Amino acid sequence: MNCLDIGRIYLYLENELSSQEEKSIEIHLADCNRCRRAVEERRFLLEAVSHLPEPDLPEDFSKQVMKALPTARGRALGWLTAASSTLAAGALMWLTVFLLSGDTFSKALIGLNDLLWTQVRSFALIFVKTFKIVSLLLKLCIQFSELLFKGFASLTTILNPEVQVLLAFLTVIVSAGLFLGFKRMIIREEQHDS
Amino acid sequence: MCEDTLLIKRVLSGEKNAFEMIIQKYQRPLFNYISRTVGERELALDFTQEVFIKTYTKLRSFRTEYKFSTWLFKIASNTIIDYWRKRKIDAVSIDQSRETDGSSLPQQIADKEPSLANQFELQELRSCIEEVLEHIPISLRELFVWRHINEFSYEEIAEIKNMPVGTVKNRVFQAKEMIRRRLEEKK
Repeated sequence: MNCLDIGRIYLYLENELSSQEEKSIEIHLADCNRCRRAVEERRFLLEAVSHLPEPDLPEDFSKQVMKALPTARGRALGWLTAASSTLAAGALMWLTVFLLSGDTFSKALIGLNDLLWTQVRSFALIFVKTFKIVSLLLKLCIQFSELLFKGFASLTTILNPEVQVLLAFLTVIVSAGLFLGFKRMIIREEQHDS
Repeated sequence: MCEDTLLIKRVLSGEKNAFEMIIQKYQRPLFNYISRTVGERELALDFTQEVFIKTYTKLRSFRTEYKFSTWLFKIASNTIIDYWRKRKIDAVSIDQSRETDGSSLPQQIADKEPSLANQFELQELRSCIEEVLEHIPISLRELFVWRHINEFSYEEIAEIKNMPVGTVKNRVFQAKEMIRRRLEEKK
């Protein structure tokens, strides 16, 4: 076997080689002074490197970091600042373009005002339409609940009181069973994740 | 679910104090790495704090199927590299250089190698290594610190730097040989 290259020496010293490769290196080292010296040199270096002193950290470092962490309010303000800056920059850019086109400052302001109101009207329209859809859905839900209630009410005239009590009792049992079943499923999922 | 993932979930559910446990777990290894890559203690403290703050603000983007330590040190590495770039350190010393690509460093043992064991006591050698480490190119120094001070595996380092394991191994060997040669020159 040829003499070892430096990379293999380090891999050998760091136990990164297979046992077969280690064995063949040890056989070579038994007969090669040069490689043996090189291995010992690097072993000495690795031993020195493995116990370098740790630099000092202040005792309350973690507390200092916790104090410096942004708060939820801070983050919200950050977003607000970013949004306001973007709007302001956009308005300024728009004004600059308008003025460069040759119009007077007052015309530019009127133009910006018109643009803003157009946007506000569009958003207001979308908001009103959304509100109408939500009210319609709510009305449908109310009508459906009324129908359901009428249906139950008519059932009570058909069925005698004992059957009604039994049905109510069965409903409670089934609901409790479903609730406990879901709870168990959630607990099992959490245990599986951990 | 590992401890880090549980702590992260607690932080994300609003328990901010759980983050302090993450800080206490990683502050020493992180500071150890940063102080050896920037060289100045006060600056290293600032950077360590900055890395924890960045980690906290980006916590929602962390994917729990990955190792948290890898992600944390990736943020740290990017922070340090930005710092060196802003200082207008020659990009060659940050990125791969001719000296670090393995083409010019010897792969074979020299015929006559001075013996470090004969030149230094172990304790003296350790202080010299600290001095010499500051003069190793940042691209090699970083990997060396992770391997031999933070004791990351080659695979973990490859994941942090998004480079092949073979390249990581070569660069760490180069760092060690560079340190060894500079130590020989010191005596």
